[in-house]
Amino acid sequence: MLRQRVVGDVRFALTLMLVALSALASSNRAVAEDELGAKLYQKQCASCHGAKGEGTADNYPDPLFGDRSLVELTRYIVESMPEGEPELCVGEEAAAVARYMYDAFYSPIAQARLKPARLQLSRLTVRQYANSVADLVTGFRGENRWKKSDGLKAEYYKSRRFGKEDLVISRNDPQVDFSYADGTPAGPREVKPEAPPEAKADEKKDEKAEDKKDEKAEEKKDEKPKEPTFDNPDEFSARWNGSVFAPETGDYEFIVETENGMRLWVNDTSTPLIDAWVKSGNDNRYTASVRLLGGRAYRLRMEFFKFKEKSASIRLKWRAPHHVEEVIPARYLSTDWFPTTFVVTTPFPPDDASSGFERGTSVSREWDEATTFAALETAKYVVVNLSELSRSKPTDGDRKEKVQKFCDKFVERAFRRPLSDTEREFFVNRIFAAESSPEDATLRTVLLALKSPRFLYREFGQGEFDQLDLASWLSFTLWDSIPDQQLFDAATKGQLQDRAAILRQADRMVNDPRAKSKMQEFLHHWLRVDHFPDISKDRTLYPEFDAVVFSDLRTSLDLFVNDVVWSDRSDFHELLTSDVIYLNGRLGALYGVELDKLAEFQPVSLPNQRRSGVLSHPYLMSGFGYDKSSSPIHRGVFLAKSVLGRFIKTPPIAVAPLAPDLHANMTTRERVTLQTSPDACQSCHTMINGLGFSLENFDAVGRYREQEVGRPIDAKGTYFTTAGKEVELDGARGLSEFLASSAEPSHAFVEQLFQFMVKQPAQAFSLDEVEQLHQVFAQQNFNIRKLLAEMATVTALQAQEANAQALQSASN
Amino acid sequence: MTTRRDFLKHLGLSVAALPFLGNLSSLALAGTAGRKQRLVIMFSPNGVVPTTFWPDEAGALGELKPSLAPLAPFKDRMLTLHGVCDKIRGDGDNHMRGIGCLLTGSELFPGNIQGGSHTPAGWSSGISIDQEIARALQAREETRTRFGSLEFGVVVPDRADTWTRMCYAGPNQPIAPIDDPYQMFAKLYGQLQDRAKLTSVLDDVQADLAKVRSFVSAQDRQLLDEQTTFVREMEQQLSATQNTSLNHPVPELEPGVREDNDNIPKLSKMQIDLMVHSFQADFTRVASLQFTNSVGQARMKWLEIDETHHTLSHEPDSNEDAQAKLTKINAWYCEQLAYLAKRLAETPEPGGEGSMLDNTLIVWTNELGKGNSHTLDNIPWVCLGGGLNVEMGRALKFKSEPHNRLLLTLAHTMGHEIDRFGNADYCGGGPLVLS
Repeated sequence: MLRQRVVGDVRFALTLMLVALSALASSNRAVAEDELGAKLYQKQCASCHGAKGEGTADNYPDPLFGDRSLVELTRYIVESMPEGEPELCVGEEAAAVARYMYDAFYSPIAQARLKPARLQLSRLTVRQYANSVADLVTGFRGENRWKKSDGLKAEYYKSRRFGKEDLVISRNDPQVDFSYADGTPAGPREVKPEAPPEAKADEKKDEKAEDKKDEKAEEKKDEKPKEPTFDNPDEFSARWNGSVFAPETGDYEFIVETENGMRLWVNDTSTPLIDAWVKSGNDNRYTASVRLLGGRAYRLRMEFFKFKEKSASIRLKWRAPHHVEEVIPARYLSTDWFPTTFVVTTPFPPDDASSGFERGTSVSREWDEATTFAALETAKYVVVNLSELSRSKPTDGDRKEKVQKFCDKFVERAFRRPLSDTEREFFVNRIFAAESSPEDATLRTVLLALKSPRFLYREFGQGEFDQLDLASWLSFTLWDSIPDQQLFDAATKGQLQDRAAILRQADRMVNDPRAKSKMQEFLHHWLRVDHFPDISKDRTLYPEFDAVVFSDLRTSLDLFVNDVVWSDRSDFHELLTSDVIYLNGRLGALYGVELDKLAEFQPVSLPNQRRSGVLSHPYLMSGFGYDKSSSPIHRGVFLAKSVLGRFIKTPPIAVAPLAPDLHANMTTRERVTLQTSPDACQSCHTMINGLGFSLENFDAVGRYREQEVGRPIDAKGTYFTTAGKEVELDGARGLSEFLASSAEPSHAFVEQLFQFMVKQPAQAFSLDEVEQLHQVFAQQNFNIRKLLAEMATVTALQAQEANAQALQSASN
Repeated sequence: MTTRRDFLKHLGLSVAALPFLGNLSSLALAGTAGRKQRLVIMFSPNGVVPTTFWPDEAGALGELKPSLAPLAPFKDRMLTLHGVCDKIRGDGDNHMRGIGCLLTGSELFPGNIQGGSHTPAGWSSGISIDQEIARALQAREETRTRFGSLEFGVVVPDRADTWTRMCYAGPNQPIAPIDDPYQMFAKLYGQLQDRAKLTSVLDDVQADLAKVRSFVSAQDRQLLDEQTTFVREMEQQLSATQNTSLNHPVPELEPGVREDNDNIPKLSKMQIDLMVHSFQADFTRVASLQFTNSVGQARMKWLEIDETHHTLSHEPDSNEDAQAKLTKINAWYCEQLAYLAKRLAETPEPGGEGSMLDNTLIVWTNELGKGNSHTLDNIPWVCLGGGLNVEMGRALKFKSEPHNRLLLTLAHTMGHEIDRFGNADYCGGGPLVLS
C-alpha cells in the first residue's frame, strides 16, 4: 500500500511547515552571522593567525585552539584584539568573529571535526580479551564445533556402582527431567514431563498396559535391546555425558532438583560444580553458577543414585542470561565431546561505547589492573594444568624442554605471529634459564606475554602490515578472537596473497560458531534488545504475560533471526518482511495459534496477523511498550534510529507519558498525538510518531488487535525519506513493504554492522566506505553472510594499504 | 583505644594492604586488656584401646600409659577427660555420628549414605563448635583475623561424605579440610608470592612497551604512554606493600611430597609447621587438624604395621597383637600432638608474654570411645596447653556427661559465653566444670 502522498493531513502539514520555516529562519540567521564573522576574520585576523587559525611563522606561530567558552572568547576579542587596536572589533562584530572562530577551528569540537578520521591503535575489547585467552589456552586441547543437538548419552545401572555388569539401559536422553516415583527408570511409574499429555492420561487408566508400552518404546530407542532388569527399586544409578551449548556470554546458574544423590560437572572434569552425592535432610535443590562464553559448547557430566529413599526423581535445569529457570532444552545438549574451555573471570571495566559501539581506543587504570589480574588468573590456570597442556609429566626427564616448547607456542599464539629470535629470548629462553622450576618459568612467561602490548593491542604492524596482521584483522573482525590454526598457517605460508585468497578464508570463518556468536550480539545491539530490562505487564490486562513468556519470546526472536541469517539466502529483507514467528505451546496459546500445550518451538506462518519479521516481533513489541499500553514513541524511535539509521536529538524536555486511566476514551494513538502536539516536540515526533503508529495493530504484549477502547485501530503512518519524499505506511505490512523497497534500512544496517565488526570509524577507510559496501550488499541480494565476508576482506586490504602509505610518507 | 586500622592509617597504609602485613596484633593488643587465645582441635579415628590410654585414677597425673607416653614432657600442662560421652542418636552408624556429631552436638539429617548398619544418613544438622567460636571471634574487631579459622587435614580421602567431614559452617554445610600442604601454603602466602612474581614481570613489561612504542605512529603513542604510566604505578604500589613483610620468613616446603599413605609422617609435619606459622602471623586463632577420616585406613608401615587402622580396630580385645598395634598407632598420633605442642612451646608469643603454647588450647579427640565396640561413650578427650585457665596435670573422671557440655566449656574458655550448643537436651547444667 505504498503510494506517494498527495494531499496530507492538514495538521501534520502545518506543523511540518512551521518546523521547516523556523529551522530555515534560524539557519539563515546563523549563515549570515558566519559569513560576517568569516569576512571579518579574514580581514582583521588572518594576517597574523593564518587563514584557518593555523598561525603564521612571522607573526603568531601557535595555532588557535583552546577550551575557552564562546562568551570568554568574545570578551577577549573585544578587550584585546586586534593587538594594539582592540577598538576595531567590538560589539556584534566581535561576537560574529568569535562565533566563526569557535565553530570553524577554536573549540575542542571543531578540532575533533577537523582531524581526519584515522585508523586508531586499539587494545582488545573486553569481549576480544575473554575470547582470545579462551582460544589461546583451549587451542592446546584440540577443538570441536557445535553441530548437533542430540541430547545427552545416558547410562542406567542397577546398583550404586557404575560397573559394566550392572548396566541396564543405554540411550540418549534429549533432556533430563525424570520422576521415577517409588519405581525404577523405565518402570511403570516413571514420568517424563516432556512426553505428550495423552500418554499420561493412558497411564492412569491402565498401568499394566502402559508398562508394556513403555518397555516397547524403550526397546526401540536402544540399539541393542536389553531387558530393563532393575533388581531393586531401592537402589539404582544413572550417568549422563555430553556437552551443553551456551547461547550467550554470561553467568549460567545450573540447578539440579532431586531427592537423591547427584554430582554435576560443567566445563571441568575434575572438580564438580555441584556435589550433592550425600543426600541430607530435606535438601532437594542444588544450584551453582559458572561463567560461560557464548557460542561455545562445554563438557557436561552428571551422576545420580538412589538408595533407600522413598522416591527418586531428577531434573537438570539452568538459568541462562536473560532467561528464566527452565529444564535445559534439548536444543542446547549434545553427546559430542568438547575440550574444557578456559573462561577468565577477572572483572573488566566496560569498554568505551561513547561513539555508539564498543571499541578499544582508550585505556584506563582499571583496565590496566584488570589485564594484570586476568594475566595472573590465566597464568595460574596454565600452571595448574601444565602437564596436560604441555603433554608432559613432572617425572619426565625432558619436562623442562617440553614445557619450554609449549611456552614458545603459547607466546606465538598470543602474539599472533612467529617469534623473532630476540623475542624468543626475551619472552621465553631468558626466563627458563633463570628459573629452576618449569612451573615458575611458565608463570612468568605467561604473565609477561599477556601483559605485552603485542597481545593486548590490535595489529599495530612492526613496519609492514603483513599477512599475519591480515589474519588477525580477519579473526578479530569476524570472531573477536585470535586466528585459529588454519588461518595462522595460511598466513605464515604466505597464502593470503590476494583478495580472492583472503575472501576464501573469510567465507570459511563466517560459518564458524564464533562468527555466529558475534553476529547474534550485533543483532541484539541492532534491535536494541541488548539492554532490555525485565519487562512486566499489567497483571489484570495481561494475566498470561509473565517472566516465562518474556524469556520464551527472547528465544523465539533468537531462533528467528538466526534462522534467517544462517539460512542459504541469508536475506536481510526477510528479517523485515517475514510473516513467520517461532512459537512453543505456551506462546501459541497467548498469540492465537493452536499448538499442543507442550509443543517445542517451531516456525509458524501468520499471514492473517500482518506480521513483518522483527518489526512486529512480540519481544520487541513488549519491550518497546508500557505495562498497560503499546508505545508508538518507543517503537518509532527504534524504527528511526536502528532500522532507518536516522539521527534523533534527545528530547528538549522530559515528559511523563499521559496515563491511559486518565484518558479512558482515547486510543493510544490519540493520547500520543495529544502529548506530542507542542511545537517543541513536533520537529522529531513527526517522524517518530509517524513510524510508530504503523505498528498500532500490536498491543503492549505484541498480540495482534483490530480494536482499542471499542474503536478500530488506525495503523496508518507516514515517513519523510532522506530524499524528501513523503510515504504513507499502512500498518505493519505497509511499513515492511516500504522498508523492503527503500535503500535506507540496508544502508543503516551496513553502517551499524561495520561499526560493530570493525570497531573503527568507516570514514577512516574511505569517505564513501559504507556506500561502497552497501552497493556490494545490494548486488549480492542483500546476503548478510556475504556482506560479513566482504567487509572483513575489504577493510583488511584497506588497512594494509593505509599502512603502506603511512610508511611511505614517513620515509619521504 | 587505638585500633589496628587507626594504626595502619598512621603508617599511611590502606586497609587493602591488610592481608599482606602479617602479624600486627601486638600493636592491635596494645590498647586492649585480654590476652590472645587460640583453639586447636586434633582428630584421629577409630577409637582407642582404653587400657593403654586412660590413666587408672582420677587426680594428679602419674606415669602416662603407652598411648599417651609421647606427652610426658607436657604432663603438667594437660588434662585427660574420661566419662564424656557422645549421646547424640538418630540416623547414621556410630562412625558417621561419631565424626558428624563430635563437634556439632547435633543429629545427622536423614539421607542416602549407608554405613555398616543402622539407617542411612546425610550431613550434620548443626554448626561445629570450632566454627561457632571462629564466628564469634570474627565478630569482634580485637579478635578478628584474616581467615577466622583454618581446617588442616592429613590424607583425607578425596570424597565428600559423612565420614570425611568433621567441621560444619552450619546445617548441611560441611567444610572440606585442606589436606594438601601446597594448597594450604597457597592459601596462606599465595598473594604475597603473586605479588613478588608480578613485581618481577612488570619491569619487563615496561621494557616491552618501550620497544613496541617505536613501532607505532606518533598519534598512537599516547595510548601506550598512558598504559606505561599505569604499569609503573602498579609496580610502585606492589613493592611498597611488599616491604612491609611478615614477622617470620615465608616457610619453605619440601617440594613434591605426594599425598599418599607412606608420606603421612612428612605431610603431618608440614601441616603442623604451617599451622604454627599461621598462628605466628595471626592469620587465625582457631584451627583443626584431621588425620584421615572416620573409619580411617592409614597403614602405618613406618611403625612396621602392615594392617590398615580401621580393620585392626575391629579385632577383639583378646587379640593382643592387634591391641598392641592399635596402641602404637594411637601413640603415633599422640606424637603428632606432642610435636605441635613442642613447636608452640618453642615459639615466643609474638608481641606478648611467654610462649605461643601458653595461649593455645589443644584438644585431641576421636569419633569413637573404643574401636571394636563402636561405643560413643568415653570419647577420648585430651586437653593440652595454656588456654584453659584451670589447674592442669590432672586426670578427670566424669559420670557419663553429654559432650555438648564440654563443647560449651570450649566456647566459654574462648570468651563466647553461650548457654546451649547443638541439641539443647544435652546442655543441662551448662558448661562442664574442669577445675
